[in-house]
Amino acid sequence: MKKIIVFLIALLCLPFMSLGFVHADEGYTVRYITAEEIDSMTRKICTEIPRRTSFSDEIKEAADMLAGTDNSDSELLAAGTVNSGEFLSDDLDIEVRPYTKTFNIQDGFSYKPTEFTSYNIVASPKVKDPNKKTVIIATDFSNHYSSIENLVSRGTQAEGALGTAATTALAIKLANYLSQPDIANSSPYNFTFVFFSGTDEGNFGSEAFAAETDFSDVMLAVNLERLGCGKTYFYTDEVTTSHGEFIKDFARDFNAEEFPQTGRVLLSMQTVNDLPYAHYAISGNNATFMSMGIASLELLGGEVSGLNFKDGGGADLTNTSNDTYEKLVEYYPDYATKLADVATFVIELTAKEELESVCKGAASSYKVFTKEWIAYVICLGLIVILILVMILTIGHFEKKYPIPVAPKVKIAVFGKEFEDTNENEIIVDIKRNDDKDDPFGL
Amino acid sequence: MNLIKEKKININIVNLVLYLSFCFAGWYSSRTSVASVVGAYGQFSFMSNDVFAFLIAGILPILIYLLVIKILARALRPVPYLPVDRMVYSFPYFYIGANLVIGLFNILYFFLPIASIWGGIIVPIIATACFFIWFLAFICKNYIKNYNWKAIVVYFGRIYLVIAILYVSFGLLAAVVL
Repeated sequence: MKKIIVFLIALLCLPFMSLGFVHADEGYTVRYITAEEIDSMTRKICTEIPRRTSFSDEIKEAADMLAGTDNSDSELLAAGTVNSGEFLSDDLDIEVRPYTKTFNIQDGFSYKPTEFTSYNIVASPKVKDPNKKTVIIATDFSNHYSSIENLVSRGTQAEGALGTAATTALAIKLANYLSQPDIANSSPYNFTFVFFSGTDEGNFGSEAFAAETDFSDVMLAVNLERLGCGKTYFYTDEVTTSHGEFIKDFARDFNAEEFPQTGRVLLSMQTVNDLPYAHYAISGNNATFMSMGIASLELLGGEVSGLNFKDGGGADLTNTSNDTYEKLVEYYPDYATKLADVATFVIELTAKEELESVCKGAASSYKVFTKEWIAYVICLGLIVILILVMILTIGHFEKKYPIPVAPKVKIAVFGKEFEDTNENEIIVDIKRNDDKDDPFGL
Repeated sequence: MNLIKEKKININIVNLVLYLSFCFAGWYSSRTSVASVVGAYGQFSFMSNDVFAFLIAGILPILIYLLVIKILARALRPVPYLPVDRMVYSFPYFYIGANLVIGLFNILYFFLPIASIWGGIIVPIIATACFFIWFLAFICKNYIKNYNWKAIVVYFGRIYLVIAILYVSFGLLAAVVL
C-alpha cells in the first residue's frame, strides 16, 4: 500500500518536476537588470555620446560624460563633484585614465612619429573588502564615429549602437547594480569595471590598463564584446581549464554557447602573448587579460558564418554607418533582452563562492608548444636523423649489392700464352695461326 | 601497388586526386588566409566559407608540383636506366598518401588548435619523409637493379634533404626573427 501511495505521489509530482526542469533549462529565474533599463541606457549613450572615436578629441569628452566627471575642471574636482550619476552611479569611485600611443603618420613622403591620447574609464564600488579577490568586468566604449586624418580613415558617423553602445550600457548597469552597498557587501568578490577605448586599433586601451595595474588580487576578468545580436558565445582559453569547465557547466543553464571550433579561424595577427595565432574570441581585450596570465571569460555576441564572425540574424551593423539606435531596435528588437540575460549570467556567476577555487589563472601548460622555433629545431634534429639513416642505408647497399665490375678485355696479339690472366679479364686472341713462325702474323 | 605498376589509372585523374589531396592538406591554413583577407576586405564575403578555402588551398601547390616534376623529368630523362616516366607516374600516389596524413592531422587541430603550432611544422616533414622513403623503396624494388639502389638513394635523398633543410631553416629564421 505504501508503495502505491509513494508511486501516486511521485506521479502527481511529475508534472511539477518537469515544469521545474523546463524552467531550469530556460535558466533565467531572476532578472537583476531589466531589458528596459538596458535599452534606456543604450538610447541615452547613442543620443548623448554618439562620438566616441578613440585617439580623437571627442573621446575625452565621451569618457568624461560617461564617468560623470570632468578631470580638466579643477574647480569642480575641488568642490567634490566627481560624478553626475547620469551614467555610472555615485556608489562607484570613477577615474578617467589617459594613455598615449605613438603612431607613424605620413607626412609628405616620410613618416613622422606622432603621439595620440585616448582614455579608459576605471570604476570600482566604494564598498570593498581588501580580503576579497577581485573580478574585472570590462568592455570597449569607443566607436569609429569620426575619421582622424592619416590614422582612422573609416569614420562611420554612426553611434556604434550595436558595436559598443549596447554592451557599454550593459556594463554600466552591471556596475551600478553590483556597486550598491548591500550587494557589494554580500558579494564574495570585489569588482573593477573598466571601459576601454582603442580596442579596434590594437587593444591599446586594455594594454595601457594592464601596464599600470597590479593583477595579484585579480581572480577573473570578464570581457563583454558586441552582445545583443545573434548568439551569446562564451570562451575561456585555448585548452581545458578548471574555470573553463566550471563556466561551461554554468553557462549551459543560460543558453550561452561555447565559442564553436569552426569559428576558431586562426587569424594571422598575434594578440595573445606566446600564441602565434589568434581567432575571433581572443582578438579583443580578452587577449590582454590572457596575456597577463589571469583567468578570463570572454562573452561575445554574433554568429559564426562561414569563416566570418558576423552580427548574425539581421543586418551586419557593426562598424558601419547603419550602426544607429534606430537600426539596432529595427534589426535586433530583442537585443536588450539578450543583454539582460547576460547580466543575469554575470551576476549569478560572480556570486558563486566556488569560482575562486577554480580560477587559477590563464592556462600556461601550453606555453612550450607556442614556441615555433622549438618545433623547427626538432625538425632539424629529424633531418639529421634522416641523414644518418641515409648514410647507413648507403653503406648497407654498398656491402650487400656491390656494383659489378665490368670485365677488362685484353687483346692478345702474340697469343694467349704471352698474357697474364687475371680474374675479371677476357682475353681475345687475335694471333694468326697460319704461320706459327711469324710472331707478327704477317 | 599493382595499381601503380600496371598504370591502371590515367595520370590526369591521379593528378586531379593529388590536387584534392593538396586541398585537404592545406585547408586548415588556407581558411586562415581566407579569413584574414575577408577580415581586411569584408566585401569579398563569397570567399568566406570552407568550400572556397578548401578549393583554393590546392591550386598553388599543384601548379608548383606539376612545374617541378616537368623540369625534373626533363633533366633526368637522359640518365640511363632511370625509369623517369614510371617515377613521374608513381610519385603522385605517394604524395597523396603524405597529404592525407597531413590533412588528417589538420582535422585534429580543429579540436586542439594549440597542436597546430608544432603539428603544422613537424607533421609535414615527417609525413613527406616517410612517404618519400616509401616511394624510393618502391622504385628501387620494382624498376632499378639492386646495385644501383645506392646511387638512387644518394641522388634523390640528397634532393629531398636539401629542400627540407632549406624549408626548415627559412621557418626557423622567420620564427626567431618575426
